[in-house]
Amino acid sequence: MVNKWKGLGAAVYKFLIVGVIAPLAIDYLRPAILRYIGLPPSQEIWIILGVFGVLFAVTAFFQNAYVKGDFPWLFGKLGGGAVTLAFYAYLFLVLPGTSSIAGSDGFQGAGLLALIYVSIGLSYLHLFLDFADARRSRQRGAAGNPSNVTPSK
Amino acid sequence: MNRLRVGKYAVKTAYIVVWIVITAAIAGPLLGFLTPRISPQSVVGFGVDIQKIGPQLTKVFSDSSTLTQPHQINIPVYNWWIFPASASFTLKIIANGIVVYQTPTSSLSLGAFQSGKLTVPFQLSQSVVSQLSGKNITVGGSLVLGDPSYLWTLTVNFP
Repeated sequence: MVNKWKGLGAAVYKFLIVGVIAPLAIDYLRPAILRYIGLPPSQEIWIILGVFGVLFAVTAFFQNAYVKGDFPWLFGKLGGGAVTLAFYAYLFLVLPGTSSIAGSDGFQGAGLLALIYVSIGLSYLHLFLDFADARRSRQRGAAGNPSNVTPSK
Repeated sequence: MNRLRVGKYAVKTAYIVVWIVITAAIAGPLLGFLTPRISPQSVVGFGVDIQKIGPQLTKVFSDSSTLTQPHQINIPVYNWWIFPASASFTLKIIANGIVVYQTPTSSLSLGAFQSGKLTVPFQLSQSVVSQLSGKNITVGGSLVLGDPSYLWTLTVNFP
């Protein structure tokens, strides 16, 4: 059964965190951050984080509106992992590369990014096992449901 | 419990452990950046007090008669965090846009929940001092930070 309101709530929450609060915080701390590393223009950050916010919201909707074991839920989980991967790749690889401050070599987070890739790999493996477990439990539940039992003559 | 479920929980546990490490590695410098601004008395995380560099250099260059004497700059580095940290600094003296003097890189390694000072010793020779006279002098440097450095490093070059 689709729980539309739970999905919408999760989507709005994700969008607010990534698409609104994160760029607002960066704008607020921009003068202090610029003393250490460069940042792209504020408008660019708003657009990119806004797009990530929408992607996170869509995948959060599918993960929360559908029940574990449903294919839309699986789509939400797979999509969520892919969006997370792209988000951190942008944060650690692309963002320091766009630093406009003179002389700043910025942030080198290859080790951290590798760890994030490992975590996403683990989350996909868990997802696969969880999905298989949920479907097996569902099949067992259906087999044990009295309504599925053919009445004996 | 079946093997599928055991595997599922083992993977979930590994995932949580990896995320705790990631979160801690990101939170260290973030807290070190934010807490001195929010509550200077109770600093948490990892950071360097680069504000202390300017006044020390001003003091060195304020008296031209002592310029050739040995000097040193102390940069406070705090690591109130769970990972070991490292910091290194190279000081450059620039006259009319040309680097006339550069110190060897000074490094400092700190264990978890340790603080210290990154000491940058330098002594300007008479020939360097003569190159500075009557020129526009600026001071630059390169600061490299990591906590832990195998996960991330931040390099700040200035000016």
